[in-house]
Amino acid sequence: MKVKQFKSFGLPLLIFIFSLLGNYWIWSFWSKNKYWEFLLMIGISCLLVLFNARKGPAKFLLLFLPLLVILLKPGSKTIFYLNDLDIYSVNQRRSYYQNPLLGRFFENKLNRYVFNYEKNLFEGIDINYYFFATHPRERLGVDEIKKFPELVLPLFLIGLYFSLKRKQLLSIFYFLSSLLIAAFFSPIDTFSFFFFPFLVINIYFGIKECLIFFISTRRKPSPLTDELDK
Amino acid sequence: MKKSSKEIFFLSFVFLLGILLRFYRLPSVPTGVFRDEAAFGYNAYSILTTGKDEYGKSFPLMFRSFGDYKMPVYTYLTVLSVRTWGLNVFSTRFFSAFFGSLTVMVVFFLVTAIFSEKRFWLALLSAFIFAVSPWSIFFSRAAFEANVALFFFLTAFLMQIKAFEKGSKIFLFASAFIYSLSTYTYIVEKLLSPVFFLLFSIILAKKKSQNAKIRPKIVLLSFFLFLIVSLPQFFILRFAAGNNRIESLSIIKAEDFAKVESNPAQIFSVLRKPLSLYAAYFSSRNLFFEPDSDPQRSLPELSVFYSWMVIPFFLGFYLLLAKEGDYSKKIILPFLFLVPVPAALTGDPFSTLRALPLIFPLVILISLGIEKIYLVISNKRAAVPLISVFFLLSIAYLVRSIFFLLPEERYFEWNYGYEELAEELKEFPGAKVLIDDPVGVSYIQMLFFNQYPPAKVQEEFNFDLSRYYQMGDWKNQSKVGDFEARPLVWGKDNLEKDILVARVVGISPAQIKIHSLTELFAIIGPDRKIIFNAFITNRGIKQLGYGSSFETP
Repeated sequence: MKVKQFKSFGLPLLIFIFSLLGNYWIWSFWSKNKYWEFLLMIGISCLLVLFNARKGPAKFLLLFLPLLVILLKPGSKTIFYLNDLDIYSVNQRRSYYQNPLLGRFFENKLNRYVFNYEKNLFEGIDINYYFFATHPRERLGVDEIKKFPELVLPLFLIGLYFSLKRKQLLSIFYFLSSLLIAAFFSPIDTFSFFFFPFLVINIYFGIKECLIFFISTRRKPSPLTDELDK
Repeated sequence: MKKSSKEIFFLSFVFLLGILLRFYRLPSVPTGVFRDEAAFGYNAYSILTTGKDEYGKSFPLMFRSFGDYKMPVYTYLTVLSVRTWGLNVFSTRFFSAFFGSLTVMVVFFLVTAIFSEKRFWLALLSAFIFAVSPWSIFFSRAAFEANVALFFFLTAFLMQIKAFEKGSKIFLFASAFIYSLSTYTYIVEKLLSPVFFLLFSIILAKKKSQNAKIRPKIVLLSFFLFLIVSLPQFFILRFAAGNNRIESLSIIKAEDFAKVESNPAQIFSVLRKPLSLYAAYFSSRNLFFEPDSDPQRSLPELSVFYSWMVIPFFLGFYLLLAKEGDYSKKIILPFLFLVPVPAALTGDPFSTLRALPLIFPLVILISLGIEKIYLVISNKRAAVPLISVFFLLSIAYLVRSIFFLLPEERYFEWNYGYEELAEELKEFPGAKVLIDDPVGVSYIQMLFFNQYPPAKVQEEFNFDLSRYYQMGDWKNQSKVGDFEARPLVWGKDNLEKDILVARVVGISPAQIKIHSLTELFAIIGPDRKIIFNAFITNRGIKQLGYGSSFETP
């Protein structure tokens, strides 16, 4: 009975704890005395795992959590902030067009806001940002930190693939909602900690899938694979 | 399969759009002629008029140029265009734009070959995305040998698929021949072509096993043909011409192997860099937002695809992965994961030039995604205008980047100003001119724009041809006729030269005063900033017969 309990509950829990704490990112919160972020990330990761396979609309309330937290933390620089160089660039570029209307269409503040938003958005979905400390395209003036070991990248991709395949989309919706909100703030690092649970969950799924694969190829059918599969 | 007139109309439209975006204002955009382009053009001119390159080597297998040993196909092709239109910017860029346009059609036929003849609209969409993609358009608008190599590479791949589909030996031999031709065109294809020929022969043979007319013996014979045609390159592999480029670009060095040999655990630290570089070729930030970090190889504010395409890209990738045992998946995935390998082994963070073949699988993934989005939208009347709006906006931003931002913001990187400089210097015949150039390669621009007689250049270079393929070093100086390009040496050049030409920061006001230089003229850029300043020395004033009261225009 105890062995069965371990297989159905203990082992997945161990894998989850390993995914949650076996990375540099979570400890960087701790070392920088960002305790509330540390706790928030652990909390959201646990909620995502618990609600992931459950049915019902209540779990989608999680998607609004980043928005709530961001609204409670004022004073961050948004994409709507343009420095003198940005303004100069817009004016300078308008002079490239013989037709002033064309110049205004292409070179305006709205264009800059969209550019800033896209910049943050794409930094947020850059694989190298999470697994290679943004190498080889480190950003000027940003202290790039290593977030996850490179070796877990395949596990993350496997987990993501199976999340999609099994239509367990909560973590993906969570990531997209937090990304779309966090991208309003520059640099993306300001609120990129919200993406942490998404990575952790998929690494966890990836490890689980790999374990199932290895065990099932060795011995089938196995109660462990059955339990893990649940 | 016979195509309807509607299909032919749309296909022609895509092809013509591809031609328009590649040829419109080809000589003037990008503004300027990059030194490699000038080298292609001038060496083609030299081959045409003398049968030898600038150093006097008859029909070389690789062109020494600046010691970088350029692959030969682009130069030999350019001989034809130079013969037709003379030595100018258009003739130098012509074949890149020409093959870039033709590749649009190759993409169309490849997609129908991989999926099915019935997937006309998917193939058309892929050809359209390729035709309007900033990646292909940019590299088609300048003399980039990689762009021609892409055409050969994809054509060979198409032939290979057709060979196994039809059981045609001729197609397989043609494929092997064109693959080997691509190895003479660009360095990346040199590494990819043999792997692709063998690997895809295995994959394709498995698929068509039910009517396999291509026996393994034929595959081996074709590969033998590939090796025979590629053989001359192996002879120079031991010289600088064969290995200089690979050795200088590769990030994995001999000491890394020694490190791993002494401590196998070091393999992770050795592989970390190439792995991160490899991952960068699949990073959506690089593919859809941030351009190549080399400003000479990218468009301002445009990456290789449009930013909105990130959604169909992920969708298409997922759809392809989710297909169980699908034939197209077996072709596209190895293609996708293999082509960035050579690029990832070089130090550049995201080299769009070296990873150019990656455009093909990415175009397919994006097309699959867009097709799915179209199918999901229930109101078909709304779907087409919606998708069209995205494409129209994309083309508008492409026009902005190519025709408005590029000429104004990247002219310096594109070596603008040498044509104007050559024109100005014609006013001073016989003057000894020094161009302050830290790498000493600007002589080629002067040769190009002055159409300097190649026979005279060969005579002046007086190169040791017995060591032609071994001279990979470059001494940062070159002298042809009255022009010399190298770093300026004060105390020597101001006494021995008549005219000194330098960038704005090259000669300071204090140096002008100390060395009694007189400003002769300035070359101004499109943004009205000075690119070059030309000064006449005291010697120049005397030698050129000007009085002490000489005043600049």
